[in-house]
Amino acid sequence: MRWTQKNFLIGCGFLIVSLIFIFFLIPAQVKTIKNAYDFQPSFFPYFACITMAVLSVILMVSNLIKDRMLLKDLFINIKAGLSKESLKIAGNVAVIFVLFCLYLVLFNKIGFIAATAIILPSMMFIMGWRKPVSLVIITALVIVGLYFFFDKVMLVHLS
Amino acid sequence: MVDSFMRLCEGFTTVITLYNLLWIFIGTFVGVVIGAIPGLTGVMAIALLIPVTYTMEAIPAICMLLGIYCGATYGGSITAILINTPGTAASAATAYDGFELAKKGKAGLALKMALYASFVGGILSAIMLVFISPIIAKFALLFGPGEYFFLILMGLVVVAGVSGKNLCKGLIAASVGLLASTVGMDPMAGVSRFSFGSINLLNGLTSITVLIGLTAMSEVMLQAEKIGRPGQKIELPQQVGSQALPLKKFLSFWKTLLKGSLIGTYIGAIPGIGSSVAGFVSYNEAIRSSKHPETYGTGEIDAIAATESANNAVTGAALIPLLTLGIPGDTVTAILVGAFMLQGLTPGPLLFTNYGDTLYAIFAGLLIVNVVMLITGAMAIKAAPLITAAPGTVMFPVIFIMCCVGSYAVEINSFQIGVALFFGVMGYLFKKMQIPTAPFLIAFILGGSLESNLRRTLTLFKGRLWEVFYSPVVLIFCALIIISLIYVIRSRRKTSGTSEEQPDD
Repeated sequence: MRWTQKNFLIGCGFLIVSLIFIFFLIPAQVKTIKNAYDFQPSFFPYFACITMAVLSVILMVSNLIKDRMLLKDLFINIKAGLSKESLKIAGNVAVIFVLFCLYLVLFNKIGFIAATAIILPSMMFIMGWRKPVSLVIITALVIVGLYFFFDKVMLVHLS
Repeated sequence: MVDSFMRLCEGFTTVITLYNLLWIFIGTFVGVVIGAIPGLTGVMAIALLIPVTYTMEAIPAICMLLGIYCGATYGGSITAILINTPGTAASAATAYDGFELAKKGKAGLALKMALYASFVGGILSAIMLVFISPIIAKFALLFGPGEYFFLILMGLVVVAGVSGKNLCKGLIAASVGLLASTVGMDPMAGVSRFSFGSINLLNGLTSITVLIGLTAMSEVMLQAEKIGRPGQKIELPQQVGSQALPLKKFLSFWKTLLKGSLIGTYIGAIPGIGSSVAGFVSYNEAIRSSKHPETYGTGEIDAIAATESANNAVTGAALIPLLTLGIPGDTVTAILVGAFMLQGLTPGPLLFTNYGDTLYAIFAGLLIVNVVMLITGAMAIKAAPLITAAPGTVMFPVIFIMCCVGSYAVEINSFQIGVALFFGVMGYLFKKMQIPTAPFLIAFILGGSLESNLRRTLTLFKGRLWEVFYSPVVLIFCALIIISLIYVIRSRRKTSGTSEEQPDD
């Protein structure tokens, strides 16, 4: 996919996000108040979102002007972009992201020590570290080191 | 001034004892270590160590705490350069060029420049604290909300300089950053914005957590792409060690160092601004005055000199409003007020009269702190190869765990880990879409202050915003903003012929 097409899609994405904020999220999440001289609390969020929308349109239009054939083969190139290689890359990142989320859940449920003991070696193994003895030693050192430093020295209780 | 010099010399004779120097070393060392760990700040370390000072005398107690302050401000640059994770918000600007230099195998050079520039900034601001603090305090008092607004706007102009080759994408990132800065309580009316019913979001997003997510966690996800792909290796930037920074080469950056130190000193003397703003304003000035502004963000050593001299210059200058007027300049000095009062020293105009000898000994201690920071920083640089020598498949998971714990430590709340993860995903997507993250960070860090000062100005002038332009300080800032924008537009026009992004897939 050409960068002009990617930028066009990026512009579309940010335009949609900004419109969602302008028409749904800001009215729902930010109250209006009576005040004499000050801006409303929603002024800056609207300013940021309208700026985002305008810039997204500029990004889309400028890339359309640069590449007149942009829309013609856009969908073909999107399909071509979903190659085996790119799906594999997305899969790798998804696995790591799942581990991230799992760590957050386990941190809440079973505490720092157990969560780290599960996730850290799993992540190292998935990333390619295949030495089991050093996997265990490194995990133990990280847990002991971080626990001692944060819990006992900095008084940030991790349990 | 001669009198101040004589009193400073007497201060040196008082402070240079083995006992005092030991506590200065402990404070600076602890500060550098704490500052280097993402999620931990000098504020935490000072708050934890204040009880240690109960039984100490004033001079070693205050000097130790100042050592933590200066050390932590510098320490954030170590992880900013090595693993693209600023330890503190003050080093956010250092990460842009520092990590790029590390990727080119010049991490040692970047670390040394950060250390020496921090030393220069700290020493210059300490000297100004000693000799001209009453004058600077008078200028600091000229600042109202209108002046604050334009000063912060000047810091925002750097967005145009760090947007890379696609200005539109950079500005989109900045608008996302501005939007993110509005999460939490409205600064004037106190209504909640984008809290989605969660108490955790009422206080807004903390800059450290966002930094950790946007820089470190997104980098881990980026490295994860290489799993199982032949010819791709997960690794940290290598080759910290042997690049020298000869004195002659260092001194060739004297203009940047001087300007950065002056910017940091002036901004530090203004209550409520902070070292991250100083870093960005100095970075912007370095871009503006450079003959090759397009090199900034790609590994320009001058950028590190600018940001580190400015953010460490804030450390001495933040004491100016504290000691002359009794007004703490930032969170750290607000805690230091407590430390001073514990020792029987009430910050304010009478401090110089009633406790002049003790005060000048503390000033001498601050100068020594910056020298000790050189020693502890050099020790940290020697230890840096231990980090980069470790395999990436081990380091990145460890970095992830440290970042999660660091995020948790910010508010002792696991919600912050979720926030860091969210911004980690956002940072990863930004990198894949070639949207620069620097404008987002700048707008996010400065957005809150920008809004609150604009709205205070409106309230103060009863809606007649044009009256703020009656202030000469505001006019000076407006002129500087216009000059900066002209320079940035000109330099973008010069480089606009080159290709935009990476080659097509």
